[in-house]
Amino acid sequence: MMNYIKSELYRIVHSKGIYILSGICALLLLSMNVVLHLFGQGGHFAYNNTAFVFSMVWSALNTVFFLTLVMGSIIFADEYKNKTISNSIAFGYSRISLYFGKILVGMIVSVAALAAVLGIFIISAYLLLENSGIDVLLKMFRGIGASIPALLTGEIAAITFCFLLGTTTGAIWSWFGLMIGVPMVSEILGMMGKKFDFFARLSKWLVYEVLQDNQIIVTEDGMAREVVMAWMTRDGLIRMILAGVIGIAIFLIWGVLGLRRKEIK
Amino acid sequence: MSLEFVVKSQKLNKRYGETAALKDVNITVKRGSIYGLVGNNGAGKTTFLKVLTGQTRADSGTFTLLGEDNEAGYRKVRGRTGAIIENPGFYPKLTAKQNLEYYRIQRGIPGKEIVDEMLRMVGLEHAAKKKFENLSLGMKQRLGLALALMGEPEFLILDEPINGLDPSGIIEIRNLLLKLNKEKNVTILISSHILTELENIATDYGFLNKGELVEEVTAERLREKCRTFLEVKVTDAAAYAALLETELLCSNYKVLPGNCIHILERVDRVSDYSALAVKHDIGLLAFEMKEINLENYYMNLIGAENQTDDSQEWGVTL
Repeated sequence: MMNYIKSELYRIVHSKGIYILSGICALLLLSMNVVLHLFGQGGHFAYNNTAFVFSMVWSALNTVFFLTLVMGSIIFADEYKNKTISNSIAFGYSRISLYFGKILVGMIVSVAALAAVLGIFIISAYLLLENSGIDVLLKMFRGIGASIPALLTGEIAAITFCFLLGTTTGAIWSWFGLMIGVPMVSEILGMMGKKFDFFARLSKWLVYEVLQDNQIIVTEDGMAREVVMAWMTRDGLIRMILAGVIGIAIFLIWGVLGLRRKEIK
Repeated sequence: MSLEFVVKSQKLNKRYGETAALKDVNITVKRGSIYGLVGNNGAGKTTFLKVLTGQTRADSGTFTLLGEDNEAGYRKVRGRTGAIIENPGFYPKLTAKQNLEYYRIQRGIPGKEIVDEMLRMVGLEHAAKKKFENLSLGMKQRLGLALALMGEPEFLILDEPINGLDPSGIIEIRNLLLKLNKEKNVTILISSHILTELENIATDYGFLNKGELVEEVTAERLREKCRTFLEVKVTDAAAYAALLETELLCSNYKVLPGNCIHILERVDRVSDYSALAVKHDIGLLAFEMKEINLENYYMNLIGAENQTDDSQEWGVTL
């Protein structure tokens, strides 16, 4: 397994996909800092500070969820289409060890890419914008940390679909259907009265919903509003972590059972 | 390892839906041999090789691979094999060298220099930095061979390894395989639809047809069975055949479509056969001494399997 992980890391380091994905993310975040910095040059501007840009990240972690699909397909690398999985199996690797190998590599690469992108974002934010203190940075880290199980579910689901379905296109459609479609439909049904109460409760435990779950608290005078994400409350944090762990377990079991007798075409 | 064989399958069965890809297949590949697996498309060659390499699992039956007879054991010994099944699989955006390096790391083979060595061995040193997607079909095939040969395998499983190679490439690869077999005692299981190529290297043959092993034979025995015959084309094959029996007492012949007759006995008596036609005013269109090669041996063999009524005619004479 270690040799497989090393070889996969070699492949990813020598491929463009991960650099393009990380580069685009870093560039977008860097652009935000640069634009806010430029706007701040003209005098008083409420948003050229680290508190604002960091809140932009922690309040929009559900968009990062979509990146897990891209990351999953980069990691899987069209193994069936390229017939590369056949070689690994012919050299004695079991399907299950390849599956877990890919997942571990996915985790390592994702953490490395996240660290690189966040590094560029945070350093540029402190260099270009007003420093709002360490608390806003820690708050962003807490949000990211709490989202990791849910984000991992997204990536593991993408890798599992790729392994089981064999095509990246099939995996993308299935991923969207299950990871985005089902939560959205559940949420809509849940809003249609008591009859559909089950769906309302279900949607609270689906990872995509958990990631975007928030409440907007408006002060009595209506002058100020505060966004409270699920992970900012104790119950919400527990639900977020549990939903992620359950999601990971479901996809891993699904993957292992599905791959046991998978034919390599 | 002093086992006499590297593969021994017993009653191996595999179905894809209604189609039986393998039917009670018993194949034995002796250590040190070059085993040629012969069969039409859909005969079961690739399925058999896929079972050996773990890409598919047999529905029933057993096989021993390098002394192991269970899934965990197969995985252990597969590291000592090299394989190309169907088209060689590589990452299209990585270069030839990077692809080999990837698999070198994956297989835990020490020494980076082995990658250059393998590229040299298959004549791809000049294409080391080319992306796999930009390689020609022949180059891709060579790279597949380099991968299979990396790590000094004791058993090579090659499915159509000379596909796409030019004539000089075919000769190079043939010589390389022969050298590995002779000098390093590498056992080779090779399937090819270019039967004349198999004839040049195989020491043993297995003939598959519609998932069944029709015959397993050594090259030596096959040479004994394959012999020269006389191909006669006349204007009236039926009349000529009757004369063969009555006047020359020849019973070992086969009448083929197009007024063509294959005579399999006393082929040195060419003048008798030609005189017979002349004597009875039967037009002699062609008269040629031919040799039964692997190709027509196989065709006759599966013909015999498919048409049991004719089996006597060819089964005995070959």
